[in-house]
Amino acid sequence: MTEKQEILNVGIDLGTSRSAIAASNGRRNWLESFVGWPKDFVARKVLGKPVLFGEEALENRLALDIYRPLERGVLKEGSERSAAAVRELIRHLIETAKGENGYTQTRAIVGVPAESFKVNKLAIINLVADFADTIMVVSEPFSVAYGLNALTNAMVIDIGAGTMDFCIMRGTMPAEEDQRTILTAGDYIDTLLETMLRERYPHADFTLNMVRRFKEQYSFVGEPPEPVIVELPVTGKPTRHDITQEMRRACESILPGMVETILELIAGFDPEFQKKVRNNVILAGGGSQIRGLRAYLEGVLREYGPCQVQVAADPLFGGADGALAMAVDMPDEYWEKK
Amino acid sequence: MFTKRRRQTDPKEAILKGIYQENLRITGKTAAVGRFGPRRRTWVQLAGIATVMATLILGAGKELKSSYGPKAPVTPSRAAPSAMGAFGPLVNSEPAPPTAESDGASLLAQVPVWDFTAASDPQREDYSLLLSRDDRVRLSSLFGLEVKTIVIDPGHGGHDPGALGALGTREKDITLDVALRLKERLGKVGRYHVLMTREGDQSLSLAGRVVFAQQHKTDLFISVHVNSLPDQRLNIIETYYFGPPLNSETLRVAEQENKESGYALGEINAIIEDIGSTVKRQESARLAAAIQTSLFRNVKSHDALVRDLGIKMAPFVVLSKVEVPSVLVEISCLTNETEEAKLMSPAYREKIAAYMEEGISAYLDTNHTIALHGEKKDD
Ligand SMILES: Nc1ncnc2c1ncn2[C@@H]1O[C@H](COP(=O)(O)OP(=O)(O)O)[C@@H](O)[C@H]1O
Ligand SMILES: [Zn+2]
Repeated sequence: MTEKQEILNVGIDLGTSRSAIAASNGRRNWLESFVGWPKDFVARKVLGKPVLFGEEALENRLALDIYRPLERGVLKEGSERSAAAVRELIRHLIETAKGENGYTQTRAIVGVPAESFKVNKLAIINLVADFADTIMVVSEPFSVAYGLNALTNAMVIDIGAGTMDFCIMRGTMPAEEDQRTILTAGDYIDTLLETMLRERYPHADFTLNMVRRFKEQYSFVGEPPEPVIVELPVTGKPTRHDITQEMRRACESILPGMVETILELIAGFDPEFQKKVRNNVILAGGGSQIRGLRAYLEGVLREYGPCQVQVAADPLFGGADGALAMAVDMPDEYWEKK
Repeated sequence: MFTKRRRQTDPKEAILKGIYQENLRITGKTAAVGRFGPRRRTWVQLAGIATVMATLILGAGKELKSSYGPKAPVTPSRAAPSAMGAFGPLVNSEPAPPTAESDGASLLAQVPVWDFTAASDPQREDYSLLLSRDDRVRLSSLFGLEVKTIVIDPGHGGHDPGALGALGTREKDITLDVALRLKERLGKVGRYHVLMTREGDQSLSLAGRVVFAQQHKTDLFISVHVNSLPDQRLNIIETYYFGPPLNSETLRVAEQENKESGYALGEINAIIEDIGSTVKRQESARLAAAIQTSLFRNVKSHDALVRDLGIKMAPFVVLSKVEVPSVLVEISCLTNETEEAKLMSPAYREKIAAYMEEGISAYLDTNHTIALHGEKKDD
């Protein structure tokens, strides 16, 4: 047994809506980034747990104080509970990755939304400090790019819940001007779609969470692949509603900002590099699943010359896998023990 | 030598070094990060204690309110648990990646192709009365979840035939026969006291069914019905569960009680009621999911056309008290002629009863693994 074999490397994607872990022992896990604490001792007793996560937390929301700690990509200012929620999320993820096995050392690379990386990087390192022996943070689109080996001549666009993060890869650490974050992303679509549906169907009864699930199932831009019909209760009775046009308008609302940012980011480079990047645009994150998005972007970028847009294969684990790959590749001497 | 030179040009090397240096900067010149873990741990503990204290001092009403207030991080709604939250993990027993097929929204994949408003069973609506105010339901069963008594409720009866099939089959006869077979089967297990709201073809008001369930302090309530749909080509299976939508009434009551008694029993009761209905709703959903899964899977094995409408929270029910898990199963469709012909055969009805039993047993068997009363040392 060399010491090396008892080292556990983990990559964590800490997201606004979902967080995931991938570990060198092959374990992977993800959960929705909700953390709930029982409101009081009765709730604590009934639920039988000091803290609940993800779907389970949502299900028991009546009995819990629930936090989604990274709203709009950053740790909520001054909210100690949000910090504690991040801490619990990470603890939970790392514990499930460790399982029953003992490791002499745990090394973690945590990918965080680009904005959070700017604002909260030290805070996040400190929050993870209890669960890993040595930690590094990276910005999320960067870890996705690393995982896809898109390290040169590429643009990665990570479409998350709170933010859409852009990152140009030039074979080195991306500089400030190679990165951009905009706030028109998943949550923005949800809110817009909700507003439009309330307007069109004032008597239907639904929540933002339902709207988000509809989006996750039926999102599209461009020509509708099929009519989008959903069931919404009206005075208690499930009733069919056609939401095709609203879905389209809500999803398409993120396009102008997206196209503008892509063009701005590559505008500063020489035409040769621009051409290379245009041919290596990679969409990642949950929002990359929007149907028709790839084709739409190719259509727009084609006006500037040949182009190719790809969608990352695994929007759920892309960030965690990339961070894990970094952790595994990281030379030993860069990992300093505490 | 050679490797060293290659390293210089490998973008991975450059990038990893960049990450390392950047993190050195973040932590202030050293990769050894500061451990203020222990202090935080204390803080979390303090926060936990503070929450309990706040509950005691400020009163449950205030605490409860936070889950309804506009600033609550998750917008509650009466429709949300039925449409989403409770379903995914119940139907797909382990967390599945959020793809269109496997997410909690999978039930929505089966959007019915007819106007659902026309398809409801008239009796269903009145079930809102059912079990709605039972103060006597034992909290012990909530905490311990020990199921002793099961009440089976065959829909309709007497002068209310329920749905009618084209060949003359009456819903009330099918529900009674299937219920009797189910009772027989569950009785044989030897662990439960199984009761029927009606054993023959008699009229029974909904209020009467409620009183019956309350008097016998049932632990589970299972109502059996047969669907009728405008589109006669369809055969569907669906299971409803009774659950209180998150309503403001519970809150109002809780707040009222708090005002008058300060920190008192009423306050604790309000919390228990609130959690009780949540737990109960989840239990009902689990029971519904278990029955629905078994019924559909088995029927599907010999009827490829049957559609799974999944489980749904009866959207019309407004309940404010602790109740027991209760479901309404629409076992089949009388408006579908093939289905009606099948339902006329005792062998088929026996099968349906067996499938339901399988679901109920699955629920009861997993019941104790649900962490409802885990005692932890740190309590
Ligand atoms: N099929 C889909 N179509 C459109 N949006 C989706 C789809 N699947 C997930 N999303 C959205 O993607 C966002 C989450 O993406 P994710 O990469 O997990 O973000 P984060 O890292 O911010 O948690 C959410 O807004 C979610 O609703
Ligand atoms: Zn009926």
